Amino acid sequence: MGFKGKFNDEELIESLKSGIKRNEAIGFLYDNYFNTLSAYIVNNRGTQEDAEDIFQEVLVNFIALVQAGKFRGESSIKTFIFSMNKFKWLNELKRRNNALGRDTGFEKNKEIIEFNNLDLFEKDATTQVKELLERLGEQCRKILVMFYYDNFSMKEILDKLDYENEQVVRNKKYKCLKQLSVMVNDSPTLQHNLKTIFNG
Amino acid sequence: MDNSSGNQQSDIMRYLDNEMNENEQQLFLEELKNNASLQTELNELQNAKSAVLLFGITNEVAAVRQGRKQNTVPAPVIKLNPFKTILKFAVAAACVVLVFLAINKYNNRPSADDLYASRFEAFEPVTVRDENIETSPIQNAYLAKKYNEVISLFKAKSTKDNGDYIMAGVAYMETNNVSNAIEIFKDLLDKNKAANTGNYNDEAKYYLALAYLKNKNYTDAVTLMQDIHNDKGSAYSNKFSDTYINDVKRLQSK
Repeated sequence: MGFKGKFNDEELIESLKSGIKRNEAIGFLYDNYFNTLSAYIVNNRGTQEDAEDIFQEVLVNFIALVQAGKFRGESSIKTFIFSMNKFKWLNELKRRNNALGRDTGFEKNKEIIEFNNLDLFEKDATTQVKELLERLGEQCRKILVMFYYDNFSMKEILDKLDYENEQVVRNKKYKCLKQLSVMVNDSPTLQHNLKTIFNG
Repeated sequence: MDNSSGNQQSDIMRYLDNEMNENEQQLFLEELKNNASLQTELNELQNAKSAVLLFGITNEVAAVRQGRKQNTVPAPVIKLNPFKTILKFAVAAACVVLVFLAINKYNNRPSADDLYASRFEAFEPVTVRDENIETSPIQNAYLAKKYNEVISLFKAKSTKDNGDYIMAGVAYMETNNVSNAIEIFKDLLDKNKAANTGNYNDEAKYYLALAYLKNKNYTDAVTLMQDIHNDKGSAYSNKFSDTYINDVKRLQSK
């Protein structure tokens, strides 16, 4: 599926940060980079599914870094996610106890950015977060995601959900966030991951 | 809930949600400094907010991935046959070599630019993948090919490593400021001579020789290239063959 939007690097960053046309921006990243990045993995002991999983992880990490203001545009987006893709795949191979994948020389772009594990989420972090938000319950999940991720105003949330007034929604939001914070607090590794990317 | 904790709750949330003006933020931050439990609560709520963001991002990317699967037949990733690839490259390389030899035979006097380009290789600083060791700003700028920034950082740095000289010299060469490059490499060689060390001496001589060539100082280029060629302990002795040096010598008579 091709997405309609065409983005330069600056427009991509703006869209991923603000949420405006973010879906299109993510689609654009898929359309323009997935084939090249997946070919690297498939030609380096991976399967098509590995390539899709890694690319998804790469995009999640990249968008998180953008939203945390940690991608400063010192390299192109292409170079950045290419490097991250390679780093994650080589780490995955290590994790599977294979010998380090030898570079096939497939990639033409020799400019590579060095990452260290502090820059990126561990694989489990996204699974853990999903579990916590599901345990939180649908109403809490909706309010928090609408407000913090979709950037809806209180009024817009009130229009979509069945509450008396904005103050009631605010109070509910606080309780939900507080409840979630207790759950996150129970997992030191998740805390560490979240702090590293978003709050570090 | 008494009023003070209600106000506190409201303040934390307004701060977290970027709803405070500058004055209010300042006051809140002051209060944070003196109130450890308030700081702890804020940290915990920030982590929870981050969890929501991560959840949102994960879901949205997963949805796009799912949407692509449902709507398109993915383009097949062509798994390369390594032997065929090597053969292809070998044939291509052989063709390139043949063409080059043919052209070279036809124009049997390479120009200064040709000679320079055939030997110039960008310096690759040693990178250490260690979380405890930070790469220097100069090295970061160099690796990012921001050569003007390399030059500025070099000028501003009070204590310069020998590697910094090489990166700055190469940056000058890449930005066509060859005379400045010559000065930098000569400075490094003088510095090493005074300190009786040889750290990056080979690199300095190699790039200086090429800088002389680029600057049309053919006599100096030939002298230095001959020195490097004769110094079998140099990492670059095989870069300047007799044939190559003779080609540079021919430029002197042009």
